[in-house]
Amino acid sequence: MKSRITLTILCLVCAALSLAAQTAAPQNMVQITAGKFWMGRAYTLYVDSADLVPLDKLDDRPANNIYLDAFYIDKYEVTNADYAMFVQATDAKPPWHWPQGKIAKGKERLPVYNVNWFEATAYCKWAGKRLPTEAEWEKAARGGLDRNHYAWGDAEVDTGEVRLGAPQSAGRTTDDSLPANLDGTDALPVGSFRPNGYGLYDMIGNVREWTNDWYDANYYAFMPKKNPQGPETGRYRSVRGSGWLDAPPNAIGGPTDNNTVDSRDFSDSELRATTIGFRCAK
Amino acid sequence: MHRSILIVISTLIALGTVFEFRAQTTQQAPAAKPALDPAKLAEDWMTRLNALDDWYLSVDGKEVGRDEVVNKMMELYARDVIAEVPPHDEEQIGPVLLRGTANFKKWVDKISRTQVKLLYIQKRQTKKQFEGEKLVYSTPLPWGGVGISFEIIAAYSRREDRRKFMAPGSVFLQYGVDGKIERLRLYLSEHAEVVAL
Repeated sequence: MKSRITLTILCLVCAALSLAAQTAAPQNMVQITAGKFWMGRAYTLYVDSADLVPLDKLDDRPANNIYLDAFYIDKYEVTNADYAMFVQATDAKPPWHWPQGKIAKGKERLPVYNVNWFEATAYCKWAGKRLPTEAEWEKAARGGLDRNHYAWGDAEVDTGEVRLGAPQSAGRTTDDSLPANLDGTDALPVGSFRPNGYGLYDMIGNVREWTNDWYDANYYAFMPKKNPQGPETGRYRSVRGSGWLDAPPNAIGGPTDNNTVDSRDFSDSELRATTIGFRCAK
Repeated sequence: MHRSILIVISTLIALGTVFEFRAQTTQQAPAAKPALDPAKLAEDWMTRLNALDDWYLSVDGKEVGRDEVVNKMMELYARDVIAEVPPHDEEQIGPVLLRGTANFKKWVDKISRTQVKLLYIQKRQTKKQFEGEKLVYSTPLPWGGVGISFEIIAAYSRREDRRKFMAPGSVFLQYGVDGKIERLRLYLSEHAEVVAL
């Protein structure tokens, strides 16, 4: 009788450990649970109302209610220090701005940039991961705040819109509490600002990030509603988020098209840019 | 002397006839190309839209007649058409922008596959004792062609469950000089389900 009880307890402990092992996120990664979210811009900006945006630039509408399976995503953008290990292990080419191929002193925790899509993909593969899809990136960036403008929600946006007399602008009147590295002179060490609702840092600001998807301005009109993987082919790769060089939300225009969680951009796969870095998913 | 006067008068009459003939032919030249009739354009667009459910599935599961009605609708559009149409369903928010015929055809395909009993009608307007008139607003476009707009009531049933919906709306169409639609804006406001009282 006693041995049976012991055996049962042992079995339960094993099951619990196994479950814990399955759900525990890999180091410095966060699990985004399965479920639906609104992908794309679900609100109208005054620039739409005034017909100021060319029709071929409107690539973030309509918003779609998308289901994604659970996935893991890096808490931080890949840093220079992370990338240096990859360079050392694989003889990959270091970013051209590293002096003599080494990280400049004090820049270890800065996100790596000047890496093209192929190099970012190779890094993630080397780390046993992959680049996130565009849908995964956006769900992660939203931090659980559906249909908001920014990774940190709308709360930080000054609601001086009444004063501005532009009800749809959601315009900022101050940059004091901007919780992201925008409009700067260089990237900052990752995690310099507080995380979003999922515990992810710098989804907006610091560097723009490569995703795995091809870019197509027409994709949202007929995109799959479950685990979209992007267009089958294309000319450019999708780049998301905004970088240290991008303008902050401004007082007059409200959310611009390059710093909200739904704004989309693209780049040639071979381009190495000082404002594009990446993070990996799994 | 008398003879020369007759010759001069005859010559003048002949020249006058020639000039008049030339003037007439010059005036008639533009009429050779039929002008785009806004009312007919609107009616044609509505007819082709409403025909999109005019096909059936054969016993062996083939779509009979669907390609024809879709192609008939697509004949109206220029290759680089830009269209702004309403969201397809509750799983989308905001305008759907379609650029080029390949993307626009996906929308036409989707309507033909997901909606039945299509009955988009042009709204009539009445005033005093007069019977209702279908008003089509039109304007010549600065770059040639004509722009038209009219109010509609969209009525359709969903193919999947046959639930019927109606929505008021409006259509804006821009026709190029070749008679092809270059821009389309279709606005539909809130869709209300039609239920038996």
